[in-house]
Amino acid sequence: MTVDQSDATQPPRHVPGYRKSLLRSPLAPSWPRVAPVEVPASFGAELVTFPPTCDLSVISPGRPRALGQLIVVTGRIVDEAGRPIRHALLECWQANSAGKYIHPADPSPVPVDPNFEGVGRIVTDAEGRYQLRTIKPGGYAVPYDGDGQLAGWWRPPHIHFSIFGDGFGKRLVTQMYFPGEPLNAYDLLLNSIRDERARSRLVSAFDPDLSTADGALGYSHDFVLGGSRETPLEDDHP
Amino acid sequence: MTGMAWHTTGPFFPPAFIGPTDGDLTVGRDGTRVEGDVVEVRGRIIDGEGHPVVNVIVELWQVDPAGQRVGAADRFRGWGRVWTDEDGCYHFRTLRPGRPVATSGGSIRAPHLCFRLLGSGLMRPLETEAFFPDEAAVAADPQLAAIDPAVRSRLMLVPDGAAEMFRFDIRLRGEGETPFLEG
Repeated sequence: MTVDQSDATQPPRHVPGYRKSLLRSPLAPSWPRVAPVEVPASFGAELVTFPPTCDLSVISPGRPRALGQLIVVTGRIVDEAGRPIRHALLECWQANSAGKYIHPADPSPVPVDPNFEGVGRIVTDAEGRYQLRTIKPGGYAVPYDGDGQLAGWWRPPHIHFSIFGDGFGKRLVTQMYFPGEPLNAYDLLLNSIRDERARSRLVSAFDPDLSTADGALGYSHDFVLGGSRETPLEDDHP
Repeated sequence: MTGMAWHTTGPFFPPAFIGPTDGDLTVGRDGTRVEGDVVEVRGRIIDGEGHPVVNVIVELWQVDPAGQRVGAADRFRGWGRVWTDEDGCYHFRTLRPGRPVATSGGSIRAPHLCFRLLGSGLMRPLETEAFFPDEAAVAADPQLAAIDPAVRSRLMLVPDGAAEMFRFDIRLRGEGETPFLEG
């Protein structure tokens, strides 16, 4: 990933209203790379042999299904030339249907669903495809964090993805949104991306053909990984 | 078609994704020790107000003990990841990268460790490199030479008591700010 200040397709380091992004964004611009980055050729797919499908809606066989709207999210991981990335590792995590994460750092009083953990790993198949079966996450209010934080900021429903492509250099950490959500238009993170088309690529598409007989609504979503390290150059003041 | 937009991990990156040996690169892909000089690197990540930053995912990668790029079939993994604890501290065990490091672009690099930080508030990752102060090649490293001499020393590993133990503190913003490299 290489980003310059004029790149409207990537978020800025400092998102006004998001206090932590100010406290954690460097004052100085990044220094240009003058030598190639020697990244390991693989993150080690031979060790993490997860299947290309993952079901977060049931923790283990025999357990009740998690509360909420069952969904299927499916698509491909491709590089900038549109070539599928096979054996890419996706790590995903999300809130439950009420907007609560199963994480020690989530202080929210929203109820826990004992049948939902919201954490999964997938390795793409030979065509770069993945399929995630889960429940639709709820939106939630972001706790007020002090000066510089927007009070009354709500996160729209979203799923987090951390992706290792083929070769450790192809890396993407992003979030996937749902179409038609009223909170999408107000979210600080999504709307920090100035380019409308780049924003819309983070929003999945509802696809009735993907919906299943057992009640899952279908969404399609492709990921495009950058990771070419040839292009200069980052110059991003917060 | 350019790469999609990055986002922060947010504060809830699942600890379960990071395995017990993910911060110990001396453990090879097959689970056994890889030969090489073991080095330990620990440090603290501090924000613009001087507070420790918890739950930062720290990814580290490097060349192998012979100075070669790590291949997909090598026992040495060449990368690891850990997260910072409640004091903002992280710790890696690894093998000292070999010298000299001949990059695919033809330049000769001093042995160094590459860091990538992900976390709440980081809309995009921060990347930097840490150099071994006892390596003669440091003086001629082209990447280090491209950084203002006034801040260059902040990319040097600091000897930390015992042999082969180093400190690398990272200041995200403000006084003593760590120089970061373009992603």
